[in-house]
Amino acid sequence: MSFALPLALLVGLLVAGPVIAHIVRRSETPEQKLPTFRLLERAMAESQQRRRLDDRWLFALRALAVLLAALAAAAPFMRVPLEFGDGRACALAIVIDGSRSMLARSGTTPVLELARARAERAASELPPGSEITIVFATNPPTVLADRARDPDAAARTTSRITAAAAVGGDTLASAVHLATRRLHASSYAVRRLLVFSDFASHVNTRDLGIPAGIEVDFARTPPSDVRNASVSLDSIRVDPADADSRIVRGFVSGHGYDAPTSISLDLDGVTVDHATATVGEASEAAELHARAPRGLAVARLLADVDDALPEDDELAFVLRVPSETRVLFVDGEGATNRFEDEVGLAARALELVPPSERRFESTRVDIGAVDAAMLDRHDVVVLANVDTLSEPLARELVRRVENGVGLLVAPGDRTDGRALSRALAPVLPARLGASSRCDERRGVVRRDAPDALMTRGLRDVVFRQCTEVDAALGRSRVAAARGDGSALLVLGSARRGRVAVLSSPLDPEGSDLPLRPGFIPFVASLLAYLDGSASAANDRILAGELAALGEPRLVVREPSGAELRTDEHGRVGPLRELGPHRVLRDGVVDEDASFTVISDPAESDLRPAALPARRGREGERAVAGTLERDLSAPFFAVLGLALALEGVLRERQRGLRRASTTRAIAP
Amino acid sequence: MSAAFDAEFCARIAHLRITARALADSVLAGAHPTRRVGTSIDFAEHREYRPGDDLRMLDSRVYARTDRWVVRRFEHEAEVRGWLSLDTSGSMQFRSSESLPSKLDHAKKLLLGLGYLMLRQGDRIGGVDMTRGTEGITPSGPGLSQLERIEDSFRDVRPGAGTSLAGGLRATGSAATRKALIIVATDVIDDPTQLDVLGELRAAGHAVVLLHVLDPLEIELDLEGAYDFVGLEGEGRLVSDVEVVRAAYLAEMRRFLEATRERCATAGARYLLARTDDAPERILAELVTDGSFE
Repeated sequence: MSFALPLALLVGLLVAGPVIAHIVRRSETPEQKLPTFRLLERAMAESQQRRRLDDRWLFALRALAVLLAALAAAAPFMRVPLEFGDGRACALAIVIDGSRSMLARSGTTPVLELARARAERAASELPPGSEITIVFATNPPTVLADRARDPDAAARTTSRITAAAAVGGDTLASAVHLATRRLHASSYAVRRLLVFSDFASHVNTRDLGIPAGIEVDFARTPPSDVRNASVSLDSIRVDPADADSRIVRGFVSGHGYDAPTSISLDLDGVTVDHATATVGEASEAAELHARAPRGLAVARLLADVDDALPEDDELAFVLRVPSETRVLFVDGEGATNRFEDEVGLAARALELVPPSERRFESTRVDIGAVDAAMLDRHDVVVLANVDTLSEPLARELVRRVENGVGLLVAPGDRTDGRALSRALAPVLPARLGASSRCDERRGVVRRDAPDALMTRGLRDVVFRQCTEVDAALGRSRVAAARGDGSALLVLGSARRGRVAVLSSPLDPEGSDLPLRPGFIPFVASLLAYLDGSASAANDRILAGELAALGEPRLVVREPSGAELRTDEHGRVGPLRELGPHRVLRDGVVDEDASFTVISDPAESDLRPAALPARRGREGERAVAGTLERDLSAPFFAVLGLALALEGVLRERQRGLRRASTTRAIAP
Repeated sequence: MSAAFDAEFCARIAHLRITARALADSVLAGAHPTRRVGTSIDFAEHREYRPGDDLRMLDSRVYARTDRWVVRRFEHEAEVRGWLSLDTSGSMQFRSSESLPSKLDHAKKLLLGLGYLMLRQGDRIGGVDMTRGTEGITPSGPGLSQLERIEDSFRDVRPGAGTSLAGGLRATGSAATRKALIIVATDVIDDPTQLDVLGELRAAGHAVVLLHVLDPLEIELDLEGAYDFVGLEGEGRLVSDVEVVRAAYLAEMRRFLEATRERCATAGARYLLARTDDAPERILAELVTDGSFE
């Protein structure tokens, strides 16, 4: 304990008052020798003993009152170690990871709860006048407190962080971006960012992009045991030997297990099959069989494991065989090397997509061979380095896009951006400009939901051919951008169809994207997204993302029974409830459109990743500080209590004296 | 003589005479008549012979003259041994006012006055400083010089805190090898139960008188206001308002006096309260005239 006004402690010298008064009182009391002292003692045995006790208490209370007054006047304060910061008023942004791995246990408590409690403490410990922002990094990131000036009120908002709210999604980077924007808007000189996360291997810490001038602390809240296994659905297909049966392939991925486990398939609550599955990072899928149900059936895969994250030990899904996506690659250059031209590598990538994830059927054609009938047979059209389109073809394409066909425009050096923009103006989400060679500017991906999976493959891509893209249209959304801020991937919609513009060609000359491992998932997820048909695009949706059903006013019934409606673009979400979602059209369940919301399997990997190198230390405070907590009020309160007690004792002693005198003079 | 025992005081008590009938059996020849006809040479009377009378007492002359067998009876003259036992504990130093003597001085005066009377009658007296126990014994002896020796021994007393009344009484008992008149002056502050030793003295054939010496303040606690009371024998201190405790104190004092009287009565000792505000000669007069020594 320290004092802001130590000189006020001199008031404590007044404690000499009661002491001196006590001494003077004693000295004023004449001494009287009395041989019959023992008789006097016995006479005083009860009443006088009580009085002496009262005297002592009175003296003690008076002395205490003076001391308390001195201490309170000296403005006492106590330095308490802070969860974060140095006790100065500042702008603080707290980001709490809401990925599924945060539900893993530390002891019996989810690490998410530990992080929430620490965040609450950090917020409540801020000195008055601070500004606090709290962002929950779930999918999509949620701002719980937006530049709040009341730390306590802001701290209370963390109560909204629950296990149910942690739907997952690797949105930490987006949340940090959101938080740093709030910090930038602040007028405080001291700006701090505190990130609570388990920093498991799935957490993207490379793209946090924290600007200079912000003090950062990465606080890891790890589970007590990182051993974990999760069940995943590999594929659902028709049994070749029995058209009425379905083969469900599931596997148990995980680490830290060396013995096989049991995996079972439940259909509408009844176990229909079970098998033994190995557990590992590259475990073999187990095949389980079920009779094809009448109507929509909800199935569950269950793994019999005991681990840190029980939530991912079972997976509910709609037992439906997914349809395929038919892609038409339109090559504007005319292929010379069909494997390395504009569309060759993309088409090849689709062939490499595991059927368990999505089935693609691709067709490639030169621009001159495209006709309307060809457009009708495909779900997605890719215009690769196409200079422009004839007006009839453009009109046909626009009409089909508005009816649900997806369109990807990947301009290149042959593309006349203005002409193509004019031709496809009704559906394009961005205006195209000139195409030119560009510096090797590395792509920086803005990974806002629901594009996280789609844009994952765009990290650190080196671009060489860039087309100017003006994404200022109202119906567009920049899903990814380059390091200089120019748009890389623009998404938009036109009635029932989805349109994307990729401002670099898909060949190796335009960028190294086709040569990177992320190319296959990027192409697959982008084309799947553009496939607006509900039956193909929405088989499994990551929690927190939108489901694009293509039609407005459809009803989506969540597992809990809650109902959502698609918006005017035919989208619904973000969806936070895991499990099968039924889609109802005019009150009737549309089996083909029903889908399953899942969490990202990567979030089941609890193994820790290295903390970002920049500042922040594990288990320590980057900015260790203390808070000066004012203790005057408690001292004044105790002082009041002491004075009240003194009054009671004084009155009691008077009463005792009166009673004793009365007895003494009684006959 | 000391201030406690001066010529004027002697003059005031000189008319008093101590007779200790109860001691007649045990004393040497002296001024204490006894109904026991003994071996004294002073003829008292004749009495008809009764079977069992000592044949040596038959008066043959009377038989020769009157032809009646009578026995001679003599008045037995006893010389009393008196023991003056003084409590010299710390509490005996107390006096509540300058106008009053301390309890020790008062007790000395009473004891020496009694000693004077006894010596004047030809008795022998000894003295005991009860604080010093057997070391404080002034052997018994006759003559007024004995009075001076005892007074000297009392003058040299060093009041102590740890005096045991029972120990002092036992020391007195050990000094009195013959039956004697033991006069004890004490404030009995120790504990009245220690007076049970008086019973032992009585059983040994001694006559015991207890002069209970108390200051009027001790008896009445006639004070006003708060005082810091201090014990004289290391009991400590106590701040108290007299008004608060007087009633209880007086009750305690009553119980104390009654207990002391009862103990004396039980032991067969004579009890006399000797307040220091009472004139010593009045106390002595009361002592020798109320039959205590008959």
